[in-house]
Amino acid sequence: MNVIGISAFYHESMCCLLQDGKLVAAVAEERFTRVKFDRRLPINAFRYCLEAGGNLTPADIDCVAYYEQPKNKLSRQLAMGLDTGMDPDFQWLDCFKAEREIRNKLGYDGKILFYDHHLSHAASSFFYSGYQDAAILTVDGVGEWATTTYAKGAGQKIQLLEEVSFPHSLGLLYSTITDFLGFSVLSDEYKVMGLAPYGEPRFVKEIQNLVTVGENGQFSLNMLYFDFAQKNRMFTNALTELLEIQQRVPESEILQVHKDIAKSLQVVLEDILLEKTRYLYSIAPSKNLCVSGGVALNCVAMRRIHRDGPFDNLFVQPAAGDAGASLGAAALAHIELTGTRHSNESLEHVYLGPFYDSNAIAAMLDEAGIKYRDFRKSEKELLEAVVARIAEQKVIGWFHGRMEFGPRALGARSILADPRDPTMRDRLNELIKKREGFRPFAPAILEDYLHEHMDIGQPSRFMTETCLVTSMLDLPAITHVDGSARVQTVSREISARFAKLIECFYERTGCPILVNTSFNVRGEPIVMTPEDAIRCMANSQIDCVVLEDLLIDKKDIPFILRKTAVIEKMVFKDRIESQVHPLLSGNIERWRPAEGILPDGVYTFV
Amino acid sequence: MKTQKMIELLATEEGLIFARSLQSLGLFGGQSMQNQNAVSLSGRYQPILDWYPVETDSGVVFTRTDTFPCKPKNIEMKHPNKLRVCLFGESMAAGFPLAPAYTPALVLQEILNKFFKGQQVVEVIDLAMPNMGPSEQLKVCEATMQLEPDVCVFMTGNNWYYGLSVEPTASPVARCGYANYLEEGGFEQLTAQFRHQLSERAVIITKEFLRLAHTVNAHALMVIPPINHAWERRNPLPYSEHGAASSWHNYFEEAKCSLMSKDFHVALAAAENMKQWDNGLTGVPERMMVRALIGLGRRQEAREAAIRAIDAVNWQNYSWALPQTPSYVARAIHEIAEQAQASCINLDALFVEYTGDPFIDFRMLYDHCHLSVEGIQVAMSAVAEKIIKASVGAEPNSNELLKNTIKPEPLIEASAHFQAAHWRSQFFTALPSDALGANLQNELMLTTQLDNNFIDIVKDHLRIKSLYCSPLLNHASRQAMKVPGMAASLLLKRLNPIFLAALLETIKALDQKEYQEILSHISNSFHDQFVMGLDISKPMFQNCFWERTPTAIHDPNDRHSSPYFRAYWATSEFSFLSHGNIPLTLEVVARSAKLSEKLEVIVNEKSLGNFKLTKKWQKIDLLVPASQVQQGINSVNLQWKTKSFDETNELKQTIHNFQLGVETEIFPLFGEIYSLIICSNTLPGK
Repeated sequence: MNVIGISAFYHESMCCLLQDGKLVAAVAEERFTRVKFDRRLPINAFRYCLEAGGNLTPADIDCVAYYEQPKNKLSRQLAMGLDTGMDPDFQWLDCFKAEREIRNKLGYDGKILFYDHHLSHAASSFFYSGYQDAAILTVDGVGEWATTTYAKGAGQKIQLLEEVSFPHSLGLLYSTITDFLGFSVLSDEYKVMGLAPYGEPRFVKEIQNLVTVGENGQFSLNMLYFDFAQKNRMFTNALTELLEIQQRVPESEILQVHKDIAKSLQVVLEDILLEKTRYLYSIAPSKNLCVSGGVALNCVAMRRIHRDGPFDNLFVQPAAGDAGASLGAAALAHIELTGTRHSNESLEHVYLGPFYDSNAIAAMLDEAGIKYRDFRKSEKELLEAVVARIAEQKVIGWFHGRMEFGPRALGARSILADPRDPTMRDRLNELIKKREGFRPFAPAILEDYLHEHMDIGQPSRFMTETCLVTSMLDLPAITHVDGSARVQTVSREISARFAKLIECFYERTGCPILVNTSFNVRGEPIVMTPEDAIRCMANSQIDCVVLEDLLIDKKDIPFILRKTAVIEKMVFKDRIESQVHPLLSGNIERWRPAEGILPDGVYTFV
Repeated sequence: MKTQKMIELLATEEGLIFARSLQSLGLFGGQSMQNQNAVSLSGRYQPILDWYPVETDSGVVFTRTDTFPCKPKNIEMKHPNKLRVCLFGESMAAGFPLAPAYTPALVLQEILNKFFKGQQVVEVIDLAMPNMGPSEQLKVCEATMQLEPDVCVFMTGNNWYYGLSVEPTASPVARCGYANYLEEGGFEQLTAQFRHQLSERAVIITKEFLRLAHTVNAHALMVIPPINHAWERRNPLPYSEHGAASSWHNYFEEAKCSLMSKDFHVALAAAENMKQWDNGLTGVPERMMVRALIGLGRRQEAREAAIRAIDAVNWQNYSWALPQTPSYVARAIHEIAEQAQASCINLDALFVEYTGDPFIDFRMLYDHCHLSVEGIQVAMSAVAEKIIKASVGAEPNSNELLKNTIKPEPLIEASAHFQAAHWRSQFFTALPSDALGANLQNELMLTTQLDNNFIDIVKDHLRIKSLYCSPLLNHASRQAMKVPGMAASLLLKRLNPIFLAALLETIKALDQKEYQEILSHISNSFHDQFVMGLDISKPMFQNCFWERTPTAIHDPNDRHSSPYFRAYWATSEFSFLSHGNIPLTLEVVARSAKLSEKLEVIVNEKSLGNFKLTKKWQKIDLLVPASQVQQGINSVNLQWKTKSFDETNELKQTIHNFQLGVETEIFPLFGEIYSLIICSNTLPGK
């Protein structure tokens, strides 16, 4: 039984394969196309899933499960009003697009099942949690109509208990303030979360004006302050007046007031989530809570509801956003086709993407004329060489095994560094990741040593919660300004080599922790192939890259390679002219090609 | 409730068609289009391309933030004693593929300098830019009048179709427009509409250029781009009510085979028969005629057929809009210039006169529209002659002017020939492969003759065909990257057997030892991939530029423009490299389409069998015996057996899909290939 799960056409798209109930592959399209947040149908990811399933063809697929109901979504889009600002072409009027593209572009002609957006979210956490019963909370911007749902999971059933409908949405509230603070909506919300600890909650009252907490699971946005149908912003002038500050210009200086707004937003969000979690417990009492939806990626809030809420256990799906809902859709389809839940075990790991072996990588490096140190015969020596570099305050690109799915790098495609170095955070932000200076980095810690260094009750393998750093060691690179960290606990059984590396670092330094951040630079998806890793290294200040058993130092990267990325990104200045000359407007009008169809990274010759 | 009813309606195809109709009538939507049209051209000084106005003590200076070798960093306001010539245009006028080292503007400057010998200071400002569409050209021209040119040379017309092409990326509204014309009169009507709009546009643009030049009393000179009569391309026939596809394709195959066997009369007859079914839509029969007529020595007729072909395909083939100036655009430019009593040079006529041959080919143009060194020299001599006459009233001897033209460095010319050959190999799909191969090999040999060291670049281009890493990461690409203009060439698709063969033959002829070493190395890289299975139907391996992709440049991720291989032609050609004499497994995953149900798999011209296909994907496992695998390039041809079918329903479906505002198929398909895997072991999953 082969079930494909797909999410697409809003956030980054993803495809996964459940084969006889086993999750054998899951990967986002952006990793293949190198277009950050690529939302197009995951054609490459689909092909990869079929390959990973054992050289399958589309005819071998029993069902494709899609993560939302296009028709219901259309009803909400219509209700938002036919404003031309968002999309003058009204591409979205076409609710047949998902099915048509699955047929035409994937070459699949079998059964397609569509599931509610929030049901897919709920299933993506509950059916992968390993719990037999749980309360389920889903919170995001919006799916079809629902923005938040309260449900109960038991065995192979999910029972919806209550939902909050659009436009009342905690996700949209967070996105609106993200927008107000000059960050990108649908991608930079986590930056606001990272900014919050630098601020004081002095705008809590104002933020509370934006959202009214109602009875039971309900809450409502004060629509005086919001307008989601605009093209360039999500708020109205009333918000500017309320906060008595203009919207921050993107990339401009971040002032204290921006930090205070971020903090206040985070406080209000956490308070509401906590209250609603308590309500959920009252209608679905269980020891276990499953959370998903984009808001579940707010690991600070997850920590708060775990720590202060009524549930003992918390499971947050590692790809909690829309991309990960493809897993839920696939799980629901599996139940519909077989009558049974695909698995009663919890999701052990997220290493479900492509793998590249050392021999092929060595051949690639030889061909590229890049010198490397070959450790194919000795893992121990490799780890020692890497640790020696980390201890010398070098920054390492670590590439090992199958790529992770989801937004977090968990030791397969990671940048690693020494957490004790007081200059490391600024260096990483500025020279390596090329991103805002305030953003914190996460620690990866061996599970054996967790309690000596972190205030967290249980392993957190997917970086879904924060905790307080309680270590006796000075760890400035991973300790946020409020003393917290978004920790990844590393298990020897699941991430064997990564665990050995940390152990080796511990033996050398007494510190069982490494800085772990995603292997990419700003604006780029996490690297997938060894070549992506080499390009990333050539274009950043990463000191050394480990590609499986091979180690490459920066000095051995030919200087000219730094140019290649520029050439390869010769963006197709396509034939679509951005502004039509008035003299030609009548002539061109009915033939105008759609804008924004072609992504960056398409090349042209002339 | 109202919303609910609307959803119910929109969730049906009829409802969506109704909504799209309202949209196309402008009854809702299109708001932002209006805003876009309100292009502000006010303000004291406007930027000119990448030059921005800066107030200085000595007045306004237009300055670029980045430097570009053939463009001045600063342009000052006009000095009264200088003769200022502004050259406008697209990639042809910008000197592709010789730029920035050698451009029409540089050549013109040099001719004028030599003629005036310092008695008149001349300044030629190069405002030509590749990939500029008509709106941008008008905007640049408008802004350039701030520079008060004495002479404006408009060497443009190739890109004027921008925004008019029938394209997969069209907006829903545009697609509704396609549907209307298709309903009215099929693809013929759609073509007619394209031509009508392009003609209209040519008149508008030419008039506006001349008007703008007049506003500053500049002498205007229209230079009509030439066309390469020998240029090749092919695109299939779209659906028709007459069910023409199978006959059209059968005649195509007949014409192709006859051309290969040099049976030109038969080829000509087959092409004539094709034309009966084609009705001037594709230009392909005319292309076959061009070949046949050239074979028969009837060059004037070949020229006429080539012009018909270019006029035909300029409605675009739903795949790749190719910059060219059809004859009706050339006529419009000429007529408007004549009416306005402006100077005009038709490069086509000029080249015919110069070469004494009615058939313009690769002597004067590198490819479909870009001028060769000789082409630039001849064109700019004629332009200089007009400028001199207009500015000082002298009538110089054009042959003397031509003698005064500069030549590029040999390396630059070699690079241009190489790029042109590489580019040409991606398009020449209707030309018999032996003729193209010889043509390419000649070009490559020429590059090595122009510059002794260019052999190393040719070798490196062969080395980067190895599959161990992508071309730009390959160490072999580093030398080539230092040669101006070569970087893009490195990115062209990995395997084009005709070009690959030409590369191999060139190196074999010049350096037998290294040839063996390189071939062995690349073959190794293929064999290493065969262990796990290599899908040779991936876009990066497909032989030639083919339909439905926006790019011929190697982009391993362009599955989005071609999710899997669609056979628009009776023969689907693939290839791989090998050491030879080793058994391989070939796994074909295919399904049938309307034009065919049977498939023959042929490896190196020997059949591996015939297979009946269904509409479901089907896996066919085949063993290629060691004796059938040869050293070097191996071909895998899938031969689809053509069958007739009624295209009426397909055409209706196409119209229906366009009415829905969605992308749709417009060409009849023979079949589809999901994957074509070569393996040296049994594939996993068996």
